Amino acid sequence: MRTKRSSEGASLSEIEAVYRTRFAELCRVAAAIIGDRDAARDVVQEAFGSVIRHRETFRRRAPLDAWVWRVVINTARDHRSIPRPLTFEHPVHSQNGHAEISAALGAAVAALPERQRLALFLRYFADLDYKAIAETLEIRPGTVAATLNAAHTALRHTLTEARR
Amino acid sequence: MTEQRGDLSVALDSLVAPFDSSEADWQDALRRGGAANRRPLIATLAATLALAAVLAATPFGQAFASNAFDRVTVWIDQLSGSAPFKDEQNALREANARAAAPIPEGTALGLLVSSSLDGVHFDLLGFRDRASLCLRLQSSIGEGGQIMKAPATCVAEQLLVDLGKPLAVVAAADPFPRRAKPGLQALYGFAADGVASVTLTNEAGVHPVPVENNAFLYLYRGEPPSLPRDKLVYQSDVPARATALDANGRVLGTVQIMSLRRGYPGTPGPTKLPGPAVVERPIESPRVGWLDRGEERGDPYEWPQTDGRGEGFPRMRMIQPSPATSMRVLVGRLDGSPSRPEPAYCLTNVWPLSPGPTGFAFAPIGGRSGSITLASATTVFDAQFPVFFGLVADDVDSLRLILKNGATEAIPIVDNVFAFQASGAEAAKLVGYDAEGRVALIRMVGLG
Repeated sequence: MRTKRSSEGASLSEIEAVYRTRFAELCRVAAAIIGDRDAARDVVQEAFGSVIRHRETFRRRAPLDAWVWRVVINTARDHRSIPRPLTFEHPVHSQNGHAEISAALGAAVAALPERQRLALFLRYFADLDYKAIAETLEIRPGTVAATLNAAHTALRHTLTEARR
Repeated sequence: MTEQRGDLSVALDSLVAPFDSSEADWQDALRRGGAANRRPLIATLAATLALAAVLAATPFGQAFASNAFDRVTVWIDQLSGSAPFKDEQNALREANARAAAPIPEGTALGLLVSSSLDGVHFDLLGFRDRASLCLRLQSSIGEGGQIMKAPATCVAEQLLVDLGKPLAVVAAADPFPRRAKPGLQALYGFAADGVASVTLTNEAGVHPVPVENNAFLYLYRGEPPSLPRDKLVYQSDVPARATALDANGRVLGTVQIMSLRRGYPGTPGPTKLPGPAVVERPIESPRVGWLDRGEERGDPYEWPQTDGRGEGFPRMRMIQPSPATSMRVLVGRLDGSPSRPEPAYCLTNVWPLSPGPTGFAFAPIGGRSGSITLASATTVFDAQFPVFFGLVADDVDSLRLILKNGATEAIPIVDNVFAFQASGAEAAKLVGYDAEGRVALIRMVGLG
């Protein structure tokens, strides 16, 4: 067999704990990345299959959550690599202009640079703090703040324009 | 700022509604990760073995059992034997003892279908090699009615399931290149439970073929391949497609049959198939560390002394990369020489039951490819399920094969070596990942 890399690995019970506590948020972020709710569930299942297969390669330099998040994000990005427009769920009926605002916001989110978009999804859909986002995206916490600030500025502008 | 965040939060909430944790399915995740709870499987196996014990008293023709979970029947190893097949069983055992890539000891052989054309008798035999189903055709087509045996052709069960078709044509023509009667051809394959018959369509029309023991055999008259102007041309009318029918004549599914005459479908670009299309972490200088260091992994392989084929070749190590097949892959490192100045990794394969390897592939060391090399191998000209094998660099941690229909298979890597099967009718995508799950290589797989 292949030479095993020096690592402590993750146990199945640890992975199961992350799965059971984080499943809904993971699916939501995956759905935000690929724009497809049904496919998002499958992406998360597939990502956990990968995490389970490679659990012995996990190195405890960062929390297990962060590693799982990375695998889910990468799996979702793989899925999304088939070129297609990023779409979000919109309300079918427009009431008081909410549908238009959602559509404008969806387009603005889709237009964000990928790092800003991912940071935004992890912050709003998974409720991760800056430290956890930094560990997941492998960037510094200070960079997370700057990245989210840039995303907020772009989206705030979109919201303001849409409400006029 | 906080107010703006709250405002945004409400707006973003409307984009992707929250998911419900009750949709979580840990057992499915375990299954995908190859760590599923084994208890149900053991129970299934026990039930299967109990069924096999009942079947042991029945003729060969009934010695197969159904697995309700898959669309392709699982073959039972414990086949009973009539007197003539005790000889065949012994012959298999002896061939296996001589093989460089032996199949599991005690593998049972069964007679699936018999048929005759123009006074020539054909038997289609079946056996199981690990997680592959194998067919072997033998016939009295030799000089003076001598029995000739075609090479065994195997297909991984998982691939059959993933392709989602109720039938599979395994070989389409010319299984006996040196036979005495060149005008006879044979086409054969597997059929899933519920398939009562198969129709084969060629230029001459539609030909119904009964299914027996989850297999079918169609004999037809056709010219053998010829070599006008050094180009191999099939003159025979190999059927173009096979259709599975149930007992009421209802169509269950159709597969295309590959032939050199018609050509293989082209291999599309990575964006045309599901899965990643962009390499995120290119491997600049792919190496196989253990070969570079001269470590002795796997089993040693000694080239036969008599035929001189091993002369000048490096010491090879024999690896069995796939749990689905007994096929071995030989790998070695060739240092530079006057005739080949670049050092190279080299590899070849040995078929199950075969006494030694055929062919050879070289991959110069220092190329810019994450998959150092990918070779294809097949036992027949009209490959329906070609086998691919190769080496990946140390930085490649896992491989995934993605089929056209989106089905994916994890391809094991053993000492940097991998092997898998694909359908000749459909291109597939091989994706390699590094330890962090980033895409390190993408190879389109096909014969076209």
